[in-house]
Amino acid sequence: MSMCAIIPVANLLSANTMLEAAGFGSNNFSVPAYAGPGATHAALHAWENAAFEAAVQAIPGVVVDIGSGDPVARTQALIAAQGAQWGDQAPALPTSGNALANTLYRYTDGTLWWCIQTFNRSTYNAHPSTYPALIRRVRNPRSVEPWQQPIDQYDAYRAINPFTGQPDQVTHKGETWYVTSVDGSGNNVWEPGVFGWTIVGQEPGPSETWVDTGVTIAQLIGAGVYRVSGVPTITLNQATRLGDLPAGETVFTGYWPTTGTPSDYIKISPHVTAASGAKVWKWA
Amino acid sequence: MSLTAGLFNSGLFKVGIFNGGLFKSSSTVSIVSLLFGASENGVLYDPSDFSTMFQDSAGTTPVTAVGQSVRKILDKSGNNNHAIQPTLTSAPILLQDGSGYYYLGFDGIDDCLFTGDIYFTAKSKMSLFIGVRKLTPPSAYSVIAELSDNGAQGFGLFASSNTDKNVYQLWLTGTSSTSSSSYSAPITNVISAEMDLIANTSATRINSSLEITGTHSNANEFSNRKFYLGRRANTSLPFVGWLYQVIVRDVTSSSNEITAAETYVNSKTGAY
Repeated sequence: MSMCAIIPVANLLSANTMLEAAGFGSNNFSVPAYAGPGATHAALHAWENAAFEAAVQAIPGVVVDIGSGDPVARTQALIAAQGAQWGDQAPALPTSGNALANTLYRYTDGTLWWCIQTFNRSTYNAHPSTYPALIRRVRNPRSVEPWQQPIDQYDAYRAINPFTGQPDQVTHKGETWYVTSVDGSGNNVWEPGVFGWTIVGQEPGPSETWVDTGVTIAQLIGAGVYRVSGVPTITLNQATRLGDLPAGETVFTGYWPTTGTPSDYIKISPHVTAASGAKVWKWA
Repeated sequence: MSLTAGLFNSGLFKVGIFNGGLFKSSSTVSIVSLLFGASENGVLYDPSDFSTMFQDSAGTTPVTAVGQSVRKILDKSGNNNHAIQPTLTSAPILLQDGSGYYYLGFDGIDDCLFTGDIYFTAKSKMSLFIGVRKLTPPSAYSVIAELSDNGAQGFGLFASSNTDKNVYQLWLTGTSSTSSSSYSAPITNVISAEMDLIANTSATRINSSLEITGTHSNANEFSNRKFYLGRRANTSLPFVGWLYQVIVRDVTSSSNEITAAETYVNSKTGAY
């Protein structure tokens, strides 16, 4: 007898915290499953243990299968029943014939890819990164992998990874980074070194903080461009915040109309909404 | 099976160690002396020795019977490279097969044991000996044992390739070599691998016959790494099967040492 269980990723952090508090160790739900280009569920398999089974069954949102039979097949069935796919059981991306839409594949280098629309690999037979409109890379949320530019909320990096309880980590430019800042939705879509990432072992000193530039928002000119109340002193690509909330965090990308020539027009990326009168802060 | 007197001429094997060709309980002591007697770093995990296994990763509750989770197994090589699993669901269990051999059962889902960093800095050579049974056809890139977090460094023994579930693969510093013969699950094998990053070569034997040779050229040392059993970095590429014995040492082995180690592992595995 053994138990297979699965839980939506939204409940994952609390579930693992609950099990750890009960003395079963951390990250019991550790197997990512995908109903899209990002992990949507987490599964586990445990050999017979009555106390652990009772603890798991008490978790909100969990689906459990206690029984005998091949654990792999049972786990596979449980994941499929949630409309998800098991990353570790993903089929190889075909080298000919059709790759099917809404299917998870494993490329020859071991990376996972989510097929957005059916396409013929006999025709489109280069590396899958060649066809971002057809197929996109899927991150293993429990692995430290090379940074890739996020496209949407499915692959954005997060300050708290529900699979680990820790900030997302990536490798980039020879360093390992972890997320230290996110937007108002909890996402970080910036390149490490630009904004919101810190190199492991090189945490910023306590002197760095948000500093008032002394100017305020005067007028929205267009997406990514504001007129401000004076000429602020901000360094190109410096983290910037419009207003007092984390939702206003962005990056200063230059003055307008000429990036390197100070003026009372500032360019930011990504665009964030700020009301007139909001203070302009910089991270320094 | 009998061992001729001439097979072991190093003097390390003494009369009385073998019993009609089968190792007695004292054989582990002898193999440790042979493979680790010159202060070689590495590991030796022996699931047939209950005194080395615990049901908790702190090592306070001993394993006393088959069917119990193994969350810590002591390294018998003398190097204290013990392997643990802090998480209950990810622990393999101790089981015994129909021939009486003890093994660690890995579920192919989330089971894994791993060490802390093992000091292999400036070490360019490595030997691996392992008794393994592949169960149902594994998923792609199924990790039996790996000295790496990502496959780009160190080495890894895989129970399958990305496209062929009926092979073994040895990965060395990011380059793979695949068995030419078919090894379809369920199947039990003793696998040994000799790896040399200076010569850029590897030689892998399955059931005492040379099966895989490879060339590799991506690194000159194994460096300090964790050693994982059953899953890559405790996160992915799970292995569904049994491990009877695991030995790693940071040198290449002589032909006598290879034969002795394979014979020892097979005495705990029964592969051939």
